[in-house]
Amino acid sequence: MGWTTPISWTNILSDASHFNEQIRDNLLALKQPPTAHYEANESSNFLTFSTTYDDVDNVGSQWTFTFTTNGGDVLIGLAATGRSISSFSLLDVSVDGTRIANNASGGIRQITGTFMNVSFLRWIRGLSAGSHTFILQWKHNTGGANFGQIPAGAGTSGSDVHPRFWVREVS
Amino acid sequence: MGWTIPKTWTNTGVRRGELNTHLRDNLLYLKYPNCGVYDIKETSDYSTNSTSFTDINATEGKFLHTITTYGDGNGGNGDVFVALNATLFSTNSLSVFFRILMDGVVQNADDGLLVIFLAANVMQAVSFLIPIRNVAPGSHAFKLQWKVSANTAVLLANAGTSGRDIKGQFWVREAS
Repeated sequence: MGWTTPISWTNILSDASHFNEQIRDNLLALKQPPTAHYEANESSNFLTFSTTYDDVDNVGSQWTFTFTTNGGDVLIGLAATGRSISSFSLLDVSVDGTRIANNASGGIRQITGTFMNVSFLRWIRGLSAGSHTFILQWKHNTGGANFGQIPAGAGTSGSDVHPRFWVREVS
Repeated sequence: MGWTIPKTWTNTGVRRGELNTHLRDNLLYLKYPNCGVYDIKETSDYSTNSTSFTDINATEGKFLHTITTYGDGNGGNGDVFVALNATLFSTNSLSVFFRILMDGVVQNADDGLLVIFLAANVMQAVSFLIPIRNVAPGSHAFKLQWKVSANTAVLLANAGTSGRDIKGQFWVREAS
């Protein structure tokens, strides 16, 4: 159920359709705002050897979300474990094709060492009403034989965990 | 005060009671959805040496919160947020795993949601916020469990431990 900009009420009696749009539908829009979510349960863990940003799930694109918002703020969340073999990896989120950190060397979360918590929350302000695309992306600092990893429920002994990436319009 | 499925209005007039139920009460529920919050304050820290998932503390209001939810507000299923913010410690190197159960059903299969490696004698933070999706309207119990790969892990509980007197939080809230 979408959101309709609330009217300024006047002394003119409203009919039922007005109440349904302004009260019923807007209450329901607030109760269940647009949300996207995916819990990874993959046949292999997410890996990156790339020194330039690439989608974390660059095979199934399950961590690419496109949905229509009603205008305003969006909350982005990741609950995940990560590790980086030598040096470090960086995570970022592309919003409509522009990463949040928005430069080649930056990111919003660093992954170093062995099995660290790389969970984050990110508040995105003032998105216009309409369709928007959110993609979790990452890269490794040096690449080559080194890589970043997010265990993704692939059955790996000792790290068979199921990370979650999600986006929700907030009100 | 709970949530009532907003009525479909007809051109038969508006009664005060209807506005109170369908407008006032529902606005209040949106402002104050049901939640459970545990500020982790105990006389001793939590610890486990279990290599299979086990409760941290299944006392209601601790690492177990039971709340009534109202789904999408229109009779369908909805979302619940579950969050943890805590600090871990061990005198040995080991891995610590966490998972969530809703009504006794595991929400994160296999080794759970997260695994965190602890180096010996180094504190490590664990925090997450996830939506549990497609929760039917009704009463639901959300519980956090943990396990270790070996040895013993400690979850700090603001218990006065010198240098590690950290108060974490575990909370559950209907998403809206």
